[in-house]
Amino acid sequence: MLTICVVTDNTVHADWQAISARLRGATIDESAKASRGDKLPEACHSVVFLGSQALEKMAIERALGAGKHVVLATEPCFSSEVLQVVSGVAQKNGVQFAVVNPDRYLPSRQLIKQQIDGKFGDVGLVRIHRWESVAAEATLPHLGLPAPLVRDIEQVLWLAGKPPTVVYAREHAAQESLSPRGRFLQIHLGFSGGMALIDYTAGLPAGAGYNSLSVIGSTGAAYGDDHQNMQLLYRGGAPQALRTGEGTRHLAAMLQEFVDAVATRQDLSATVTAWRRVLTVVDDARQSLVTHRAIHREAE
Amino acid sequence: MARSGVFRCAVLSVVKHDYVARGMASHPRFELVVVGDDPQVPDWAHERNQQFADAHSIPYIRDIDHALREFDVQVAIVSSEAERHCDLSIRAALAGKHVVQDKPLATQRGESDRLVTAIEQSRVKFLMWNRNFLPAVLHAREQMTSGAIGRPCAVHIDFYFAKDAGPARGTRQPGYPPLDWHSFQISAHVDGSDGGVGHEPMGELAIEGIYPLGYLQMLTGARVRRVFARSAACFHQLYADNRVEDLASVTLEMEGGMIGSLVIGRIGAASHPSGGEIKLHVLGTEGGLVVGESRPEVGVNYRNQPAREARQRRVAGDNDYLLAENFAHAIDTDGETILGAHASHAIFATVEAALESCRTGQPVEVRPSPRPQSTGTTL
Repeated sequence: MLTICVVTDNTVHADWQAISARLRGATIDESAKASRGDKLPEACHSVVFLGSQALEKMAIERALGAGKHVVLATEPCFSSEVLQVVSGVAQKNGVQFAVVNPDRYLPSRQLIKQQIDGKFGDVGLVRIHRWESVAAEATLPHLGLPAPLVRDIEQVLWLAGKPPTVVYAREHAAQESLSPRGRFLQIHLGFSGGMALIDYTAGLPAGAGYNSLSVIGSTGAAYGDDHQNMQLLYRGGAPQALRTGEGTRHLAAMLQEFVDAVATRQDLSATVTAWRRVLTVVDDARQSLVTHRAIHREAE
Repeated sequence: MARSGVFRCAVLSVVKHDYVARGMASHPRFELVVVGDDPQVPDWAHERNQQFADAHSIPYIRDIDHALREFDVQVAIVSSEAERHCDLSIRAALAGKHVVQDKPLATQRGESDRLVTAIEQSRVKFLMWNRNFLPAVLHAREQMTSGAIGRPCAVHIDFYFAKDAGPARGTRQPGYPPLDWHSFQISAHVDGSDGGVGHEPMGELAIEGIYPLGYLQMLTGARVRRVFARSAACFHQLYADNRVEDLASVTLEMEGGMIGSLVIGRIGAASHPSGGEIKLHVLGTEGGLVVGESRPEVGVNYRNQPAREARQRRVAGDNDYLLAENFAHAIDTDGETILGAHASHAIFATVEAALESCRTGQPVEVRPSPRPQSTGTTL
């Protein structure tokens, strides 16, 4: 039985006992939740870092050095070089180090991915709209893009199943005059035989955000859209639209996949490779924003 | 003409879908009185013109100049193959007739320039057929005009027609010849999906781009300055064989620093239960707006329902009538139509730049359109 320590912050709201009850072959120890990885119980075999916290590389290396498997599922807080170094520490200590985007495990995203593999043919288009309120924005200083946008780039690469061949990024030019409002960004990716567009803003007034994902393949399509998942609340005046959320079951799915991978001795370093690829796309997007040119990438 | 008078209309070449002519005829101020076409058009074109004329109990004349001259018409409705749009519209304008034209504006830049000049010099009104008066689009405009989201900063349009266009990509057997564009489009007339009819293959940006870019223009009034685009033939063997796109994505950079995007495609009937997903996303300084273009709609489902019949049906649409009303008003008041020659040319230029960007792999500046020589009343 694998004991998993969860290290998280107050941006993640989950009933860890309920999630633990869903796991096969593992259990969750909540005692180190808010420790930022400083105090890990001896008995825990693996550590999962979650949330928006700014992590120190040392916290992860300490866990790996103590012989614990590590899952990094926070906002993308490390550069490609740091990820490579940390991955090396894991290998040296004979433990697993995985970098994961928790959004992949949302029920809607899992369903869409399953359809791609078998029903949709070749992916022609991935289209994401993500709107957040200005309070939610968190531009990652080392990446120059907001964390949710970086996660969405990862989603696109995961759904498309291949890296892009060209990257073009634009930002609303008058955004300086909108202070303190957030940014309006869009990322346009070209793939062999397909394309993707991500529209991101942190410019909404305080309150709920909006998220939409469409995937169109050569033989089918899926539309996972807040617009169609709204419920209506009537309290006088115009009705309010309330999003029906997907809960936190996806955290159990993410942890189970990790537990199964450890049990079957899968090599999770591929997740680090995949994230490093995402970060090269982020670099290209940043370069495109500055140069106003499309960045063509060499085939891998 | 008195402001309540009826405009007599010549339908010039109604060889593809006939919804423009029928749309105009739905308004009591427009009366179809003759169908005209050039004598040298092929037999299938004559046949369709005659069928339309018979259905509306009006004569079909194989002489456009005669049709324009001898039937006391004030309006010409052009619904030919795209490559003849400009020629017919210019001839009608030079004959002093107001013009309602099907999309696209033109297939060549030079033709589109000539059309704008002819319309202006002839001082006639021009309306490019569009969807700007759909209820949801008007609702979006109302919200934006009221300031609900502040000043627009970004506009994103998803425009997917879930329709087939022949066999799926990858189904052509080895050794078989490529599918012929013209032949296919002629045969597609039976279900009205022959918007690309003509000898020259056209991708979805050229065929349908006017619609979403028309929304953009109406909602923001902003000119597109630069574009970056990607395209592919993802779904249909016809498009792959003729090297045109059935899917395209465009990053739009507009006046005032506004940004936006358009994704447009003919994605195949299997990819949506009701003909396609069309959505407008608009972000402003004070909020955002998400609009389903097909609403209001009603769900209709029954036993043994044909697979290709839409499960969600649009209701309360008045686009045809409102376009005709807008055109009548422009004539009556010497004003502008909702999508006139200059605005249509700007859209053509945007599509032209997007196609070039697809070829070059880099952003492309949109070539300016001819400037209006005089300012009419803005409606």
